[in-house]
Amino acid sequence: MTTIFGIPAALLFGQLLLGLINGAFYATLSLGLAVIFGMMNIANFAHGALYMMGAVGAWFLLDAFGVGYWTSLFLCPLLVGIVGILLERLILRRVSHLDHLYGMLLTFGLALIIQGLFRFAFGSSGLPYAIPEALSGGTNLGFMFLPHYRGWVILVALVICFATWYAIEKTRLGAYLRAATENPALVQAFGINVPAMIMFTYGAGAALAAFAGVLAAPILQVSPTMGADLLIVIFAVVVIGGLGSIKGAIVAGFSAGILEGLTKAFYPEASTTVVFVLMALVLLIWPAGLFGSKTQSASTSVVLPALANETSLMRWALFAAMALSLAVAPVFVYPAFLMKAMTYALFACAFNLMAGYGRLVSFGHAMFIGTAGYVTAYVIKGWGFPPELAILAGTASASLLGLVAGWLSTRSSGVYFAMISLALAQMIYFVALQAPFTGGEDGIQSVPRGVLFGLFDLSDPAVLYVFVLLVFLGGFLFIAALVRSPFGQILKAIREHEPRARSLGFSTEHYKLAVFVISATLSGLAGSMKVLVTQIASLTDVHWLMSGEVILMTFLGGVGTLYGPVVGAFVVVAMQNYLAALGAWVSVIHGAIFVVCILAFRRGIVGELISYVSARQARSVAAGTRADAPDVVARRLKAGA
Amino acid sequence: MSVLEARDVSIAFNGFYAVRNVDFALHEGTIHAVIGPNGAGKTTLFNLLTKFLQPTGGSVYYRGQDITGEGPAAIARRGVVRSFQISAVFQGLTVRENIELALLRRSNLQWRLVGHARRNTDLVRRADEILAQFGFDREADTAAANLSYGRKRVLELATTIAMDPDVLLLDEPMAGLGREDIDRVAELILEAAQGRTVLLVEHNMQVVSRLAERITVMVRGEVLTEGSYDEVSKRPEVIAAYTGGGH
Amino acid sequence: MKRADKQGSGRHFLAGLALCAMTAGLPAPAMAQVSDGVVKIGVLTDMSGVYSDLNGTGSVAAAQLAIEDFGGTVLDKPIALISADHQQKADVGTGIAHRWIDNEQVDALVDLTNSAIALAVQDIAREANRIAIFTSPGTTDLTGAKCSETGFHWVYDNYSNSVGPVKALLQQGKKSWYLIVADFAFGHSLENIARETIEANGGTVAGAVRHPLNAADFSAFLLPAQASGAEAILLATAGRDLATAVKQANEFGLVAGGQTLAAPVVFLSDIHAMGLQQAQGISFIDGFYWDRNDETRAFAKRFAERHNGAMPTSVQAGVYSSVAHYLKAIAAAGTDEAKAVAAKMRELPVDDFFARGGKVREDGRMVHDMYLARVKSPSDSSYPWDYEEIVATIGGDDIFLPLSESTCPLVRK
Repeated sequence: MTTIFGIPAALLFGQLLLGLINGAFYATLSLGLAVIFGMMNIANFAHGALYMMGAVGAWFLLDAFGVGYWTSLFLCPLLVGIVGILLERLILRRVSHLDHLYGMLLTFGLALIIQGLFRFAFGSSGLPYAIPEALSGGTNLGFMFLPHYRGWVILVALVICFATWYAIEKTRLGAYLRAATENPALVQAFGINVPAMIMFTYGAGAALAAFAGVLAAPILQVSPTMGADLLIVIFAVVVIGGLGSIKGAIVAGFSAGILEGLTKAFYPEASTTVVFVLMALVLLIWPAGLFGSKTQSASTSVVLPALANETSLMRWALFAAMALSLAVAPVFVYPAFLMKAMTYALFACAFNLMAGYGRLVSFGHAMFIGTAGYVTAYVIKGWGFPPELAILAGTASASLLGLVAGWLSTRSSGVYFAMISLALAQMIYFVALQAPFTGGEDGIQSVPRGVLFGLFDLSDPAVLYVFVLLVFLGGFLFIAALVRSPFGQILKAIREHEPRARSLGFSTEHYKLAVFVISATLSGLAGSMKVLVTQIASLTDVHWLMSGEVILMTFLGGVGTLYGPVVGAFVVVAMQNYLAALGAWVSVIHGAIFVVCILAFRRGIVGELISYVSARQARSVAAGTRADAPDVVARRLKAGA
Repeated sequence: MSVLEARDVSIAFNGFYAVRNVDFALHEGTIHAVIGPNGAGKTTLFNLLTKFLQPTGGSVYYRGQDITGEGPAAIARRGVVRSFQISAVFQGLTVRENIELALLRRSNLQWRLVGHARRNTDLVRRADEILAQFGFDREADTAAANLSYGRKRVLELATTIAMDPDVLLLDEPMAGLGREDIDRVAELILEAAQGRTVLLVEHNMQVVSRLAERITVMVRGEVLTEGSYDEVSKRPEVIAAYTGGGH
Repeated sequence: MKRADKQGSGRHFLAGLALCAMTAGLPAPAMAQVSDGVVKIGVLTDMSGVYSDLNGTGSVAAAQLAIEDFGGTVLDKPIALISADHQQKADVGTGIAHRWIDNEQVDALVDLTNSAIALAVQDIAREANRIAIFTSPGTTDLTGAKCSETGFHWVYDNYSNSVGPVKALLQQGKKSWYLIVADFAFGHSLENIARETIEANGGTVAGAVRHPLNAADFSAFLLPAQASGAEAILLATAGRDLATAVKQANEFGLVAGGQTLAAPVVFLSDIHAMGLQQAQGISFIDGFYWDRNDETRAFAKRFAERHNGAMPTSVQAGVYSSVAHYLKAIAAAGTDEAKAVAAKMRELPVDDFFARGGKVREDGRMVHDMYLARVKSPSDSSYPWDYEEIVATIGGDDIFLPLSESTCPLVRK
């Protein structure tokens, strides 16, 4: 038996063929995503949920109506396509005029809702769906046994890929679509109904996702959560190919499948992570992906909500109010909850620094809070470090990670930045899972709190509370000062008009890296503190859902405001703990809050509050000066200003 | 002595040459204008000179030093500051804050992480001077977003001047301005040109004739001819380029 | 004076005696008292994630049934039940556990899916002196290095479930094995136990592969298993990963080709999710089967009425059994103080429909008969939930890790 690098040749070929088939599947699934991004510039986070709807739909049609596989192949995409059209028309269209980030977040919220509802209706274990009779059985190819269904998958996938590519690149409709992507206003002026086109495009993308779902149902396990983990892999694939490129999605899909196949032959444990490594490598060389040409244009500058005539007194009064209420709160509210909320609040503030002020929305921030947590827990339990040194170690590790991650990711912006940060976070997750010192699934447990500086016994809940409070307030003050400093002003300028900032002599990549590292460091501090409070470091802290949660907290509270993330963190942690009895509804509620927030309270709780107060101020000022108006005008004319 | 020079500079996008084999020299103390019909490559040349674009061929020099490989921020720090075709001010910042930003590096404050910029009295004084020079006294605390387009243009010029640059590069400074604003901005440019070198890209021929000492005409990515306004405006090939006669 | 002294000292003596009697008597009424006037049981489980059908709301229903059957009160005090979803998140789970102990006067924590949460709660309960009853996690550490006086492992563990099917299949003559293992601590521990058992009983391990969690496609891991020609394939993985592996093992003709599938961690809910078509023939160990006898059927019927018609899994039935035993122990101990109740729990035999002749060992392990089962084929199944064929009963002492090998510090060697 011939072996290649230690693996029998037959086995290797078998793995490659399997990889190719998986690649065909990835390509089909990525197509819809690429089409939607190309047309609407939205990274459709609901794609996984739509895929799942196709698969569960197939099961449902069979179970309730006896409708078989072949009919489902047409019916499910049709039905899900209609759902997609409705989603676009009723919900997504409302944010189409805004920064595309909002579209992305909105689809994320929708995904949570859809998934939660399906989980509630169909349970989480899975639903059985068999391979259709006509395609059952297989053929022995000599080096492996190939089930007929798998052969069918690759054929169908190739047909669909080619058909979609042809439709977009070679037909007139496709040309209109591509033109409308470039310049919607112009195309509309030609009499083409661009909004309708967008609506149907989203529907088509949804239909493609559902089609992949029906394809998957007979071989993968059908369950409401089947789309969640697959989604980030598909995103990686689309990014590798170049967002918006159909050709890219197809090539990248097949490549990812084959690469995974190879990995499964030699180092199977890494097979779910290898796509992210590939993505990071590709983005280093081709920052827009293999065939990407979409440059992330600086979108409509979102003016940060701010109160006019803010005085120093007001700022200090507000801070004092927060500090005082937190100091007194443990009398009324469970202190452990408050402490946990404060560490999350620090995390959210750190994230906001980058996302709100720096305009860099990362989808991988969990890697900082999680890494610091693990390091802190390990040095305390394994090396007997005292708490102050442990916190230092944890924070330093996050800082270092921030430097590396920042250098790699700040060369990109917009969605690419989000994706590369996600890829890096997934790699950290993999390391956390595999590394012996992290305790894997169990995590590092029962971390003792120790004695701070040899003087303050942190096992005393009162002492711990004061410590956590001081660290939180300190971190908050630092961020507040940073925002008002010259560095903060430059950041604001960069986010508003980066080329102008560069033309004024500011090396913007250095500033972006700096804010990234600062954000990572403070997130690390939050992670170290969290470990002291909860006494546990686990995989939850490095999982991408944690990254999603900090985004939720920040946007709910008010991105770009100082107090927004604090409010958001407290609300989300409260929901986590006090709504725990609601079980499956928690994710639906999370999703619903996200959606409502993006649609109606875009500025977040604190942001809306500020806007409301500003508007009232402006009205009263206007009322006061209306009488003086002619004088003002006259004076201005004279000054010739 | 040439302050800014392009030697045999080209840039191609997928085989299409936006700028082809251009030799260009900007001489110290002059006001130089680059003109030409749409699509001539004027703004592209501009971007190449200020390093917002990297040439695919040729090199760029600043006072004899090869700067081809440098980025726009580095060039700006050398004293070559540009403005933009579409007015570039920081909308969310106030007028005063816009100007302070331009002054930060002078006072070496750009990496200060805590403490407010206004603690530096030198900075505050200089900012006040500039505000007065450009007539922004009353609007100092207005958000730049709330200024009229004309005032935004002036603000952009003010921030450019605040950098105390060696070379001023202005990309269509009159674009979108009304009559009164044009006159005012032209005056400001003349004032600013004292002791500096200025390069303009402009469509407005009246302004060009009023301001420019030397003119370069570009057509389809190449330099057609150079000279003073009187010389250049009479040449038949220049007239043809503008009227579209003769390809 | 002398008389007065005598009287005075006599009075002092009497007073002292009375005081002694009172203080001696104080614990006595306290022992017959229940802390905070209520016995509160908290079911901390996974209600929304991948294991929610295995325990989840079913566990809560089972606990409720146990409380009702007990009469709703113990030592004349009410029994209260609360529950929460830890969402498979370690810090949420431990946060809830802390809050329950600090604020909600919870006396016993039950179910505790997810090894990370389980181990953390073991420590929390030990420190706070509360009872912890583990019905769903599998880690043997709970009765090993991390055992606790007040911690109890009721239904199964990684040892019982690995050893059983492996030994049984070895006896049937399946000597060569291929192991497909979930790549994390749970999987690795299953793998180690399996390897030891195979090698100790005359079998060979033809190969092994570790798969990452939540791998959507198992074909690449089944390929080498098929190529190895091993007679039996052990699927050391659980939940959705198991279901995917089984489905694809059928797709690729492994079963048709004569290889037998064995899985350590299969529950009734998994079979329901996979469907008999796919799951038929799998050998596994179950701690409880609803259709085994009239007693179990009676319980199952009542449970199903409360739980959408679904039959109880071994975990859910285990919750009933353990809660009932806990309440019995309180009544016997006359108090709900954890250590006293724990002692009674170990003392009293467990004799109910779940475990006839079961007993709780020093290390907290509840030892009871387990059943070697095989998943029925669709043609053999006559009514809903008729999924399992009980092939053999294995005595508790034969299937759990012997006390002599236990690493629990409480076990006197």
